[in-house]
Amino acid sequence: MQPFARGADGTLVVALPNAHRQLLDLVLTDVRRLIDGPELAGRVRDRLYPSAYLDPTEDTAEQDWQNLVHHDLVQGKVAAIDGVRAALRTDDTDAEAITPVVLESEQEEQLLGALNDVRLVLAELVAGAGDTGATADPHAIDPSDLLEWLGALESELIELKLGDFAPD
Amino acid sequence: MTPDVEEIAVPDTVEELLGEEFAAGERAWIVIVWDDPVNLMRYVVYVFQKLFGYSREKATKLMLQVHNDGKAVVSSGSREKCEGDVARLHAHGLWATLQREDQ
Repeated sequence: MQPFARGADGTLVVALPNAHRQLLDLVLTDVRRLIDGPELAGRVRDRLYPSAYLDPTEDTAEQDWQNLVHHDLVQGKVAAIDGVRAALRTDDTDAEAITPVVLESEQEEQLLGALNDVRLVLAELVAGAGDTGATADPHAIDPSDLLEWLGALESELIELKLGDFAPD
Repeated sequence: MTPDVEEIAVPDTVEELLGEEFAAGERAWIVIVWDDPVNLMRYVVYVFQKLFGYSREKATKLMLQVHNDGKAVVSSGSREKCEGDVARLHAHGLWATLQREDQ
């Protein structure tokens, strides 16, 4: 079964096993805590909230721009994660069971944005950890595997959404 | 009797009338998207189509330019317009900056 499909009315139907929805919820929860928290710094912050100006003589314009957009940018990313979690979280303990969920267009955009942001954050964390990404917990998920899975999910969703555009 | 009014200087040039920056034209600023190893190529195409209304062909060409050359100019206009474009690109997770066209 494809993870994403269009319903008859054009809405997005998400069909993920419960275990995948629960894993996604866990990852989104962690990333939300990170991107909205005061401890966000370094590579992750620079990647999620980059500068608009490279020219150092535009420092004032950069500060004005950051003052204008940063809060909304953070809130947009947080709202996307919250929207996806609210739509897809499940307590069903049957890991393999798939209960299709219909998303409205705003939730659909939030899902794509959240998947992309999570991948950006994980990639920076993995890169920042260098070659010592291995964790002491043998049951922990390898971040690289997580990135690959999220990338595959995002790819499926992108292909579906690219099909929505009118042909050239 | 002549009314007691303040004499108004009539500008001779557009630059005088609107200010140098505005008169420099609507294409004075450009938005650059930079390559990064995480964003999926098809995602970048999708964002270009969604935000700028580009055709698949143009969006793909720009994406490949970002991928192969490290960057591509994706839009241009006034500083305000470009700041808005950069904000929208950042909201979609793309690494974008703006600068003067002649920089």
